Amino acid sequence: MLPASAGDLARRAAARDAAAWSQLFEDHYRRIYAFIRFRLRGAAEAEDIASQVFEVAFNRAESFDYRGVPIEAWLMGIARNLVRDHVKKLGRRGTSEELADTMSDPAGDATLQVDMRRDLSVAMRVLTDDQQTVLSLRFLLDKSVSETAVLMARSEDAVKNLQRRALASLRRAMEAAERTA
Amino acid sequence: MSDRFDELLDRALGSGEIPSDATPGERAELEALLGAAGALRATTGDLSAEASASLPVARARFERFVAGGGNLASAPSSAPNVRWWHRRSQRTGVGAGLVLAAVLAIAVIAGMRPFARNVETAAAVEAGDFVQLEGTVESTESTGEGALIRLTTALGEFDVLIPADASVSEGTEPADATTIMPGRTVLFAGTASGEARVIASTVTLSDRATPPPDGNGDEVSEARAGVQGTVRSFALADDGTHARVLIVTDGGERVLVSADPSAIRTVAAAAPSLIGLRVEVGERLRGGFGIVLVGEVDPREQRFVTISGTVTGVERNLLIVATQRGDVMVAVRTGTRILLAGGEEVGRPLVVAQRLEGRVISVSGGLTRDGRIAADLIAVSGP
Repeated sequence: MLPASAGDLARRAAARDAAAWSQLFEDHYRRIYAFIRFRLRGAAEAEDIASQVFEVAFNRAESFDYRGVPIEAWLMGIARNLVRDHVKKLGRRGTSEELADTMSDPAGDATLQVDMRRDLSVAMRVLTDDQQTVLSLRFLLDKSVSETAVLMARSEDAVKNLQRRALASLRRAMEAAERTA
Repeated sequence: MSDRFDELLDRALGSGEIPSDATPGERAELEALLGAAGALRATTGDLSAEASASLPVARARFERFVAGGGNLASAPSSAPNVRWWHRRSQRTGVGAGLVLAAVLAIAVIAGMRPFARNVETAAAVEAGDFVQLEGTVESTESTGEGALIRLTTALGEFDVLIPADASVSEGTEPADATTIMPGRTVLFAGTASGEARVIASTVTLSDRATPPPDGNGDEVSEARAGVQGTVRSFALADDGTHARVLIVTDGGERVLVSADPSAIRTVAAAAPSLIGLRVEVGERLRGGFGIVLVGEVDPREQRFVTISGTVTGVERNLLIVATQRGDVMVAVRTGTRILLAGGEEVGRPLVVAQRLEGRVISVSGGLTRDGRIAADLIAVSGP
């Protein structure tokens, strides 16, 4: 059961109340952005898709069932689908291979944007969608196991098991990336 | 492995310490997994800062979307996307007439909704594009992530976020973004982060008046060989496969040109600050229409900081460029676009930069406070 305020906010959002959507945007944009950015090549893409998440959500406002489902879980679900579609498009366009090469050591000059470690970004690409999601939620968004379980619609035991397998896969992939660097 | 190990790992992740009841084998495995988790957690600060920097522009986009009632501006992922279609049509060789029809169709749709001001934006600029554009400041807002300014441009209104690391200058002197006031003319380069939104890397203030609004409103004409005009906007796709240039003829006709990247490279090698250049549309080439300079380029009309010379050294992301006035340090950024023959590597500037020693380049960018040029666009001469 959601707190009364969350339920009220959800009802207003379903009615496309502009103030409610403004609050939802302020409450969730940064986390949605970080969740998306972790999987994509560039900040501009992440911002565009994060914006699309809210636009799609707004368009589908009536379809959101607020009884027992956190809005954040709904937004994360939309974000996962949009990222999945986007990555498929990149694959068709043959540009996803450039990911690693655009991730570079930022130590050379202050004008460089900060990017993820190259070995980490390369390693992330070998993980499954579920593994990426659990790592994003647990370690980037600092969600607890119970919160992650709700957001992924899984049991806590399943989340613990998934995070172990995800971390093990990530570790192996990072080691492989370091060896080939 | 079992539930026991999952529990041990969960406790270790929570406390940051290996549980004392772990066996030596479990301890080794736990340490390795904690290391992987630590690498992830180390990125959170950067991601958080980047998310905050992106917020003002994204918020402005969403507010416009909500104010317009939603629905039209955002295509669901499974639905046809006008901009995507536009890009595909260029690549697959669909004729310019179809492209024009798409542009005009967008204009009709946009005319029925509050986003009419962005009618050309959908066709002329896509998210991820490198953009050079000029406009008049309508409003400014100071945010924790930088200055957010709204401009009236040849492509309608644009929201431009100027983050703290952007290069801002007035004349040949570095300037502060907080000095940008409504009414000022601003030339900017940066990366489009969505419809009518740009994150600026370079901003140049000017007292010169922005060219008056074009007489034909939102209408754009089909590109055709022989048309001459002045460049009012320039956009280069993130993968370098195509470019779009809006030119305005002496008669006020607005012509949106899907330009061949190799032709753009040739122009940029002579004049990397494209806004204000006088050009002629050439014959259709493999990647779009040709674009050629008309007459001599007056260096004083190059309104971003520009240099040309030979790269004599590369140190990480820094190029040492020998110019007629001495060596200049050029910083290549992750958002820098490097135009090579073949153009397909334009999206990998930090990799490409390592191969530029000995090449003649032309650079457009902004001044940094330590006297370097932060490059936005680099055109490499020769094959």
